Amino acid sequence: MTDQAMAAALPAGAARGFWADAWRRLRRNKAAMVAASLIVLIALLAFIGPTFSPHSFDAIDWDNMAVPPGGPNDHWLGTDRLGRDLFVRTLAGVQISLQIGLLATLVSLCIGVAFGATAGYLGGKIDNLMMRFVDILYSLPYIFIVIILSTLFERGNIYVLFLAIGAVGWLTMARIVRGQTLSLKRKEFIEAALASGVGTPGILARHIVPNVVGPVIIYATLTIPQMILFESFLSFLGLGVQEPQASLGSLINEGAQEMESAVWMLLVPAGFLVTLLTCFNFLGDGLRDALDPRDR
Amino acid sequence: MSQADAPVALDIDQLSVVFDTPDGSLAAVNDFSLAIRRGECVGVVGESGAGKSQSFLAVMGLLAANARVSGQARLGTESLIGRDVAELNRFRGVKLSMIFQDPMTSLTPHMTVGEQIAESIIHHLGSSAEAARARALALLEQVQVTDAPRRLDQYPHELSGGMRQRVMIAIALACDPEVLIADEPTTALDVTIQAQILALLATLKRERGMAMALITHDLGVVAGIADRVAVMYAGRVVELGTVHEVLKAPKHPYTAALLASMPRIDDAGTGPLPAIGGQPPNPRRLPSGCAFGPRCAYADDACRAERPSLIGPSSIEGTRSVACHHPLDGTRHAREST
Amino acid sequence: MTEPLLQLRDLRVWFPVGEGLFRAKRNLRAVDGIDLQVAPGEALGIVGESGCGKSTLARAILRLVRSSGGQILWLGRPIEGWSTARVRPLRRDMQIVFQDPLASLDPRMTVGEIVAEPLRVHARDLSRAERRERVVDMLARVGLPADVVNRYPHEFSGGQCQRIGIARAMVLRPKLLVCDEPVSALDVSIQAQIVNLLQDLKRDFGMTILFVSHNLAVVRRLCDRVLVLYLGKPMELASTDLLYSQPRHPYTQGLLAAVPVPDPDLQPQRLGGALGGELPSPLAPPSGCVFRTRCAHAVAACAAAAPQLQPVEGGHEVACDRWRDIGPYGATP
Ligand SMILES: Nc1ncnc2c1ncn2[C@@H]1O[C@H](COP(=O)(O)OP(=O)(O)OP(=O)(O)O)[C@@H](O)[C@H]1O
Ligand SMILES: Nc1ncnc2c1ncn2[C@@H]1O[C@H](COP(=O)(O)OP(=O)(O)OP(=O)(O)O)[C@@H](O)[C@H]1O
Ligand code: SF4
Ligand code: SF4
Ligand SMILES: [Mg+2]
Ligand SMILES: [Mg+2]
Repeated sequence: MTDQAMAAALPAGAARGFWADAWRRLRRNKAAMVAASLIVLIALLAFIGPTFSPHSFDAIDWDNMAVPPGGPNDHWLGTDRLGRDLFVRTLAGVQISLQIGLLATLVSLCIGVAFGATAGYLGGKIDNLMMRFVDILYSLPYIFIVIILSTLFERGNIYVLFLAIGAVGWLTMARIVRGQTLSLKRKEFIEAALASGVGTPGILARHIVPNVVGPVIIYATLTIPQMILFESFLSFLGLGVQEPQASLGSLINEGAQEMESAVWMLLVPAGFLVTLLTCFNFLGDGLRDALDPRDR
Repeated sequence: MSQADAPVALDIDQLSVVFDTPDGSLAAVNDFSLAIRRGECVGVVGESGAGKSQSFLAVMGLLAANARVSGQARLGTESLIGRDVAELNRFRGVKLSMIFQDPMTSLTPHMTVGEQIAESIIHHLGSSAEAARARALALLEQVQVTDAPRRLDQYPHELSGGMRQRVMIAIALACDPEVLIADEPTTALDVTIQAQILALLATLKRERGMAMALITHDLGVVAGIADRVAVMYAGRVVELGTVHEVLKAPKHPYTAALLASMPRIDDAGTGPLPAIGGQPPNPRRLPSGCAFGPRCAYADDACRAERPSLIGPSSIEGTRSVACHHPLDGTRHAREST
Repeated sequence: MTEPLLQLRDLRVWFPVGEGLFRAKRNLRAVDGIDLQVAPGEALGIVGESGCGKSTLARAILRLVRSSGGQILWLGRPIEGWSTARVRPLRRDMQIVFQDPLASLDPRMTVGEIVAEPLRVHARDLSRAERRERVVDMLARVGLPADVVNRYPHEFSGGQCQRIGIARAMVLRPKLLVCDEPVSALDVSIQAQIVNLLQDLKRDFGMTILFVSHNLAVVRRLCDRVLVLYLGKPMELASTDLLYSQPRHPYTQGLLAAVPVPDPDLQPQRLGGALGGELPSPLAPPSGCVFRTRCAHAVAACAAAAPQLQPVEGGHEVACDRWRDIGPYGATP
């Protein structure tokens, strides 16, 4: 056939590398971009917002206890039962929740990717052993492990706790990465690269990693809100951050107790939490589409 | 031919299938009409995506949930389109059977071969378990499964691909169907096994007087057992006629080009093949006018302006129909040897 | 005769397979004793039923699987024991095209990157511009416009992907191109395009082709010589003309008879002559002649000793002790 006919059969459009292309696709996804901007905005607000307020997160204002938002004072989002500024406290909570989510995800990502890729790449007996180990950990009740951990560590050192949670939460990541590596190893394009003389590092860097990194990033994005939620859950049980420190979870817990008399105490932190979770999920979905060129 | 006045077993009339997809609707089959008589085998030929499978899945009531069907299909006097599952199940697997391309996935892995054949017999014919088993054995022997008594108690994974396809055929035949639809029954098999299965299908057709639709992309397969051939392109029948008419003197440029581009085992030529240029049509972006136009050596403005409709036997000699503004005269374009 | 590009001497590839926990490991003899010489510029077809070891043989030659015995001589040098690192420079001269056009292209790489990969490994001194130029040239050679370099494989049809795969394999101008069922996954109307392309490339670059296929008609069109395999063993080796017009081995005869021809006058009769039976398990091959369980000419002696390839005439070799009694029977009389 003629080149013209062939060219005519193809849609127009140019792209650069894989990442540039993924970025281009992500940018076209409105929901994901709005979500990402909101996350950045909330994060910025959480870290610099409190400096604009005259209050600190644990200072008690004896004159304004449990005042609703918009009152004739400088507590923009009201105060809690002890007269602590809810705006500052919520932002401090967001700070802690975000840090915890990121930290735990990062830990589970590092362990999971290393473990999964090793198992998948080596294959055979070693893979078998490594994955049985994962299965055993899977079968242990999560919350049970966490309760043991929280008794081992000094109560309130939330970072240590979440380092530990991250270290337990890598199991799914390891499974995902192993599965991907295993199926990639058998793909013909890997064999084609081998036949072209590409060495092992080249195959890992140019073929395996770009093909594995997509699911990893997506899963990580979806893990962050899981971890934030999990922290909230622990705080709800009284196993999370300790007073006067605040996380979104502990704030919601307090708010829930005052739900009938001071509903804003629940609504303010819950609003932030829901927004964050929604945003992370939208971003994760957007990344999933952006990182998979086959989806279009 | 004797089938010419046999009663029509399956009558498909103006059948269309449209899929609703996130990117808009996709017309997979358009105005598909075909009447298959008792004892007749019609080959349905076309490339991947031509709409062969969807036409007959529509007849079976097996389309995906996002499909919309219009038109009519009748099994004898019973209409098949728009019936609910319970009603269809009175025919499916009884009077109307279908076998599929992949003999690996069409059998249930956890049931023995005997159980799977007997299940259908018990369900539809209400036979006793022993009677069903005896019939299953007879069926296996009829489809020439070697060592049939032992096979009854084997599981599908213990059988080769060819054996599994035979078992599929046995299941399809269990209730003496009037119509058998075979969707690429040999595509996944070796040529040697393909020849065995085709010979078996030819025998069954002859002995049982079934009506058969044989879907394939291989004109050679059609040549062996079909009485008539329908050639599909981009969701439409573009040529229909007896197997001699269509393969010996194709009238549609696509049929002719396809025949010419296929290397033949009995052709000692070594030069370049007269290939069809271009790519198979994208059903979402069909060209205006004739869908084969961009790849057709005879295309002109009329072809680009208006889609040719399938002109039936009344206007063209013989029993054939063709959808082309400039049908070939059948001699000029006979396969030139290179 | 010029020095062969490639020679195989009693090449064997056995896969150890474990049958359950307590049973001893057995060997699956995927390739079992192949002797072969391939001359430069020749197109050799390798045919046989599914599972008879075609792909394994091709992969063993490319050193993508390890051989278990025998020798592979590349330009006269035995390479079968070489380490991966030592084989690497040879890879510039031997390339492969796969059956599944899409699966053989990395979905995360652009077409330009895919075709440039062999250059990246073997022609490191090329500048970016030079590399790009070679890629675009090669793409043009396989019939794809220059602007495809920035697209991803999934944007192309099967035939176009196969062109990309061929461009990648050809960009280094290898001496040997192994094609493992390169047209089997393609639409009928596209197969001829790819067969013609391979023919052109072979002519223009004087390349040697190993063409693995179960499509005997395509092999007849494209190849100069054909090797027929059965259960990992050679059955018949002959020039294409002789093999198709006067096949000597009962297996070859059965294979050829099974290929359908689109002619309603011939095909119905051909169906009657189909080869019966099925490929026996490669884990328990028949004794003596491996084909004897399906051979209409088998006699008691066939079970005793495995027949070796024996010369017929003009380089035609057949592994059947009874070939004189059987006589040729061809696809074209
Ligand atoms: N569920 C579905 N949703 C959308 N499109 C579909 C769906 N199922 C099939 N199609 C489309 O319908 C068209 C016809 O498909 P069909 O399966 O009939 O092709 P075919 O002729 O049988 O080809 P093949 O030889 O590949 O089996 C194709 O373009 C296919 O992509
Ligand atoms: N890695 C492996 N481990 C064990 N057995 C294998 C392996 N690769 C191939 N085999 C076996 O070796 C035999 C030959 O396989 P091969 O893939 O070479 O056949 P083939 O002729 O290419 O068949 P096909 O036409 O299906 O591609 C088969 O029985 C197969 O199951
Ligand atoms: S209508 Fe025109 S374009 Fe279509 S097949 Fe006939 S001649 Fe070709
Ligand atoms: S050696 Fe015997 S069994 Fe083998 S092919 Fe020849 S005749 Fe048949
Ligand atoms: Mg189909
Ligand atoms: Mg193979």
